[in-house]
Amino acid sequence: MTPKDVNVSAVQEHFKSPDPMIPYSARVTDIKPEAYAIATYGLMFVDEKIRAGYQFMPGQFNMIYLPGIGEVPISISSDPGDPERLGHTIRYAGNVTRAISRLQVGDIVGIRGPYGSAWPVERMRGQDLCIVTGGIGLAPLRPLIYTLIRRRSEFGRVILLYGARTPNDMVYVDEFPDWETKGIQVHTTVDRADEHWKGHVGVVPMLFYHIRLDPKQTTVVTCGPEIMMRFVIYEALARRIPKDRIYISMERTMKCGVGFCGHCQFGPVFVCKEGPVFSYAQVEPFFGLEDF
Amino acid sequence: MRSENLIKALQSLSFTRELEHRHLEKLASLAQEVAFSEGDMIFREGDMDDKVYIIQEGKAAVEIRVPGRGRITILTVGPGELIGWSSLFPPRHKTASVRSITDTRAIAVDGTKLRAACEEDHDLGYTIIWRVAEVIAQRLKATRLQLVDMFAPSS
Amino acid sequence: MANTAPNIGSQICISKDYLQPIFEALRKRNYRLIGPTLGEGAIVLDEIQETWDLPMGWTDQQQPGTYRLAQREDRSLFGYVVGPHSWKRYLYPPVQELLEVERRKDGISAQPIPQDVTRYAFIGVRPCDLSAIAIQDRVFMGGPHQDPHYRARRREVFILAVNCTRPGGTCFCVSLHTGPKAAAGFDLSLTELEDVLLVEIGSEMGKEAISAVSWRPAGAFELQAARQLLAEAENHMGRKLDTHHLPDLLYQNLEHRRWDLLDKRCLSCGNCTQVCPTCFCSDMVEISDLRGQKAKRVRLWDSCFSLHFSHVHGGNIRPSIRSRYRQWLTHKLAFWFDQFGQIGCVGCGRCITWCPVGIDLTEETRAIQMEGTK
Repeated sequence: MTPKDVNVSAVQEHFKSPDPMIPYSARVTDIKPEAYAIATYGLMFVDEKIRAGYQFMPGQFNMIYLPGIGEVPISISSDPGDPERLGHTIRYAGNVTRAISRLQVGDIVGIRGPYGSAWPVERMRGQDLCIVTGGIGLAPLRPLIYTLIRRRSEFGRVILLYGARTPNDMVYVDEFPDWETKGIQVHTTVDRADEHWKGHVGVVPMLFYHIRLDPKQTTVVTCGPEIMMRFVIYEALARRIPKDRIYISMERTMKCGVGFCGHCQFGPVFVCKEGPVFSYAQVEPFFGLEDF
Repeated sequence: MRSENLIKALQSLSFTRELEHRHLEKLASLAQEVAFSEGDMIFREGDMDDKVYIIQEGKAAVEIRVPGRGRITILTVGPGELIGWSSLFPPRHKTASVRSITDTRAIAVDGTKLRAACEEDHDLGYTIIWRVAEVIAQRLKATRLQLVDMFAPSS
Repeated sequence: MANTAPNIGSQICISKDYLQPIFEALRKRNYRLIGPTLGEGAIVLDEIQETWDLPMGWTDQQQPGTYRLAQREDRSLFGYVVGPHSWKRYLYPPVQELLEVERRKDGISAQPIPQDVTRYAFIGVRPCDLSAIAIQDRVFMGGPHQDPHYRARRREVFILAVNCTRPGGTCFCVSLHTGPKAAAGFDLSLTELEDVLLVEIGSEMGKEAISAVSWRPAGAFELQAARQLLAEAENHMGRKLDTHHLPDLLYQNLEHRRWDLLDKRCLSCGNCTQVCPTCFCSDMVEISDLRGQKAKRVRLWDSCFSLHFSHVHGGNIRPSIRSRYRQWLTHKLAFWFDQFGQIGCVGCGRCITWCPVGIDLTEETRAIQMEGTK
């Protein structure tokens, strides 16, 4: 099950260290609060050579390490065109991410990566794109959006359907106007709101009812809680989008990122190696299986 | 003339698109255009106004008032969407309130007459009830997802 | 007799007394010998010095959830099968300190911790375990990333394999074509006959080790005797696993009601994963000084049966025992094919013997086969 369209990064090969568990130091250059308990950390490798050699593809992740605390996989949310200035959008949820919340500009973290598969940008060329995501699920898609903007003419319509639990849980909202002027159609919605919210209320998959997709030339890309992705897939399939034109990004526990620790297994695949990006065609037999 | 405009309007709306012409004519005969300003209540929970609405323009919020918590928006609806379906089924009063968020134009259809027309012409009835069922199914799916609170942080 | 070295691939006979000089020859080449020995009420793996350390004249009786030592009527050196230990504890130790980390002003210094670089000579590796080593080789050295520590240890290992003429009550290597005779991957391989050892030379190093003792080419009678013993062994496997429909059988039965029954039987203790010679999952823990300035990154054996194993911030992916047992078995017998091109089970039977409630994966697989889909 090594898909042709979602390749393990060639960059990863290039960046391979003799001991894959050794992290490289990176300095926090800026911290931007995004939403409740979510912030984006700008990071820069301390070693100039590492900084110059580091590249990543949209959808890949790094292992972020705090000495004495531990390590977590976090998707890269910055522009792949500017890999020297890495960005990671982090929600404070567990031990490590809560420790990250105490970091200040100038502090150091360890980084290993990039790991995992990427959104299949080349396979999307000439297609209309419908990006469906919720909450912090937009983070691994932001590098894709930056890429699409940079190469805008190579793609058809680009529609972003973005939902969040409440208006306060949305990330990158300050960038949406810019994205819209650069040819990304943005539709947002929230699950719940009070009467002061003038935007849409309703769960993300319902935004499909606001748009028309051409099943012959549309790729649907989704990232978010598994339950959300399941319902997004139902809506995409109802609109006759082929299974191999629906892409998801999976989340699993990871302790190593390089296929040794076994934690991220999802049936036949290691999410850290073959994933996190999969086409629905690849994972269909297992996706949505209870407690799998 | 008025009826022709209504037929055209109905044809362009997703809830009523691709209906047979005779059905469109029938619907138009039961309908009238209505307009609401921003902030107007289109109907209130408990109302027996016996109308269903297809929104033509604008945006409206489906709300339920919860004492102590104010008006909670359940869903927002826009052009082509149906509101007020609860008038078609017993006990026929509205099960939520709808307030226009922007200036809104809609086509209001008389519920009692629509039910009678569906009874009289089962072809029309089948089509209408099928489409209403789709709307309700879609809302049920959405409500379930809201219920599971999919973005909730784990405790 | 003849003391020119035998050729690789040739079969020779040596006296049982000559095992000792081979051990000495290995020790002289800086090998530390690890082999089966009596300990903890079982036949375990530990450092051995001489042939006397082997469980001579002992055997084991194994059944689901049962392990008993027993005395044999003869003085065989290898008249037993595998115990609770496997060789992975040497190649891939249960606790491994990987990195020493220090916070500094200018960054994080992460230095690899010098690893145990002992040259191990594995004495008495059974064919099933030989296959298990090959499987772990693929896990740790076969992908785009390689585990340098595993690689360093693995490269140095000397393997003296022993073919199984007396299978145990939970053995099923024949079903998986991993035994009872070692096919490849050894330096020397022995078949214990009544009065001599039949030895196959597998490598240059094996050739060198054997050069310490006198030998003679194997005769027709000895070859015939070994063939017969191994053929008999094939017919006396305690268990049988029909691999014919794998992995599809499990793919198609991920919601089979058998998993519900297992939910009630399995204790989720993780014994099976600890004794399994191919299980490789690990956890990474951080051991920090009080000031948080220095830390060690330590890799520990982990188990897919533990609750924390599949925890993500949204909750636990596999909260039920049903789902964890299903993960373990389907990984072993089905998904391993996709991951590494082969089955993840070698038929050693350890998981059956050491399961406190005697769950038998061959029986579970058969039940799914017999009851058909769903």
